[in-house]
Amino acid sequence: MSLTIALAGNPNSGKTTMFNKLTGANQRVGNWPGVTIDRKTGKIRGTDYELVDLPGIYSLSPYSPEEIVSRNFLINDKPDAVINIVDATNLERNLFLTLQIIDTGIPTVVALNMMDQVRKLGDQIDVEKLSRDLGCRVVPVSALNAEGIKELIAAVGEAAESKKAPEPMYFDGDVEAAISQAREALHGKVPDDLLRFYAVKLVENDNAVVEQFPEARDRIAGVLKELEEKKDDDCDSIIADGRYTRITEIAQSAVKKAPRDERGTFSDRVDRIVTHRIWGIPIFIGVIAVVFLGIIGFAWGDFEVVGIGTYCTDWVNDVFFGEWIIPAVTEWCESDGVYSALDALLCSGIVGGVGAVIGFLPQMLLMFLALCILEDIGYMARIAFVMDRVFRHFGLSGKTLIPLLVGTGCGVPGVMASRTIESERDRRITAMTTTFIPCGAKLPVIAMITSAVFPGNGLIAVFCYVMGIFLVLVSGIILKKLKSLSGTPSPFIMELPPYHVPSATNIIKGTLDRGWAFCKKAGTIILLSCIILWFLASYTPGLEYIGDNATSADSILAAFGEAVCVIFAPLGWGDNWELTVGTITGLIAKENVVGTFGTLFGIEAGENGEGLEIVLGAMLTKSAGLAFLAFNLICAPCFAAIGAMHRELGRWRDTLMAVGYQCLLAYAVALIIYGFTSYIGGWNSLVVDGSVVEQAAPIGSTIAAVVVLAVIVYLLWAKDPFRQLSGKDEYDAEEEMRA
Amino acid sequence: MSNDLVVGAVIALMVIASVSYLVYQRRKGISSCGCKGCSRCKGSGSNVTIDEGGCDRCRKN
Repeated sequence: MSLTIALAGNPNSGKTTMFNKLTGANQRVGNWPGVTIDRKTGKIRGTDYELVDLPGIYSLSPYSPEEIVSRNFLINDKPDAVINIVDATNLERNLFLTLQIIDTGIPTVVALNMMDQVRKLGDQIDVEKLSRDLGCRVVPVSALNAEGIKELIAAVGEAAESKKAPEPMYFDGDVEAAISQAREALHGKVPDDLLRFYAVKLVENDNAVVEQFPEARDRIAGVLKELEEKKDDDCDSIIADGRYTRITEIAQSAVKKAPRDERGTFSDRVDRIVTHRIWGIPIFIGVIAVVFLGIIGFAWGDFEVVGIGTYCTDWVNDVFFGEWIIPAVTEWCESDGVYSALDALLCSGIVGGVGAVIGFLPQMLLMFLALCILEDIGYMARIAFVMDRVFRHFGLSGKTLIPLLVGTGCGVPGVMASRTIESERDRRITAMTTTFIPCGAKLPVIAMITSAVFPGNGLIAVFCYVMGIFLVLVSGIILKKLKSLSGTPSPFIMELPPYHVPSATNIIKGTLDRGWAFCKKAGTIILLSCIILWFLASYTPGLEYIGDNATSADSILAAFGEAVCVIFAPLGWGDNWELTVGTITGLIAKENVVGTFGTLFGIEAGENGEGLEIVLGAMLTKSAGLAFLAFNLICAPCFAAIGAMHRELGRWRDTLMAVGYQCLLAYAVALIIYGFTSYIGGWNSLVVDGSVVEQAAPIGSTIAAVVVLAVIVYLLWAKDPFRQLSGKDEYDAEEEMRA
Repeated sequence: MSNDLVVGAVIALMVIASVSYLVYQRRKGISSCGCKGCSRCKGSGSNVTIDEGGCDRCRKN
């Protein structure tokens, strides 16, 4: 018989790990709460049961969109049974949701997860007693070690087929009297089996239920007022208090805790340093710096250390492509004695363009590996915690960090992850600004510009990430001053998962998944773009083939690029139409910036076989290179990410506004970088044929940069006309009045 | 003899393979970046996941 089983539990309780174990799926697992933002379905192996993995929730009174997904599924879709994943190391907090799930009347099996951790701590849980007290089957499991999975499947099958609802928890007499009145008021309006659940929620003043049944709420308003007066508390607190009292009783009788080390657990001790209010942020910057310096390298004057990623990328570009692939393909193409247009398309267009992108694969894989390790250890969750204080100061919630962290892989899921934020306004600002953080596709651009104008200097990559976070903060202040985006930041409550030794499977899978996605993109969208670009660069507007001279000024692409490149002249790179074309093709996919240069210049671009970086080094000063990089990282993301932004923002008008804001901000930042940094010694010179050619000081750009900076400073410091007082502000104002 | 025919065939095969794969991804609801962004869910509310797996059902939240 086909049954639907829901998998529900607190965030980071191991639901997705359990989902993967039960179904054999390979859904992404992350060591931070909020990895799942929508439900996922799969078949439990060896059965006909459909398993639905729901986003993590703390209660059935939801606040954020992904919590609504969980509640609506349980209430509206009525699964045949629920597997409630409970973190056995935090039983008291997890049972708060369990009692509410039991209230829905759906047959429930409690999966007591992380039992391996419980044993490690020396705690003992009387599973039989817990099962009797909760009124439903309890199965001890360890999703990570696949312990107790068979027993869990058998138990949930029995529960679903028996259709026996567990016994709900009863409150004290006064509360039960109010619930009884609520049941009468709701009678006939909700299904009978959900009557108690809705009645408790009505007494609890649950927003969704009160909005759905306003007459019923009015009917029992007197009863609730009486109850609140008698108990001297709010109704929601009375219900929560009742539940916690019962949970304490259950936990005390079923759990025997071993004495704890006074210094706390290992995670507590590490957190005292890593999440320290002063050292937390420098440690975060230090960790990111170590990652990038190790992968890209470090250069200061004559001192240079080549990063392992740079070393591998150089080998792929210089030896694999430069000495093996390109000569072999060219030789084959020329074997008939003719180098035709088709031969040129294959050699320059396809191998040159796609090869330039693939050349950065080693660096990308190492970067993905480092990010996967940090994520699996549990450090990513700490970054969100540490940065919350900073973000709150700028009017944003620390929850904004979660989409930013997801966005380091790809902007599309990053933008989607913004839906974990409860406040609609914070959510919209986050969806608009998440792509400021460099995604995987932007890494080849960073690596290419770094190797061209700042050879072997990993600090440029660190700068890109810090700039991304800084611009999210600046945008938080500026955008909050718009009426439609004003408001106080939503509270940020996040459970810090314990540190654990990273799982090799998770890390390898995460790294290879991202690397494979990169290769697939190079073989599809980048390949097609390179073919089109080669055509546009090799034919005149009259469709006359001008030979394999891709940088010819007569080509269609040159005509277009030269018409547009004047826009970028104040940013220091308007003299070269190739750079403008690269920026525009980056809208299709950011790797296309590299692919475009590969097609236009070739990987072995110079007459003497110099690399792409030599050609770019002769086109961009350090200032212009940094401005080019900043513009390409901040301006409108690729079309896929714009689509994701549209799905989150809802209206095209808002999406266009967001894209317009991103482009404007990118232009402003690039202008400021170019206008001010050109005066640093050696930053305004080009390296042409090995000799340094000093460029004229960009006075016009500097004046424009001063004006733009003044406007930004004004927007940052101008009074917020729509500022709403937070609870703390109101308290401070009251204190001031009293004084 | 000119090898243009072979080169042309290789390029045509690459183009056909990449276009077919893009269409296949699109039909599976995977966007061009390789991440999941279900096109079928368009307009039905927010029903996409951050996971790289297959596409879920589209129902209004």
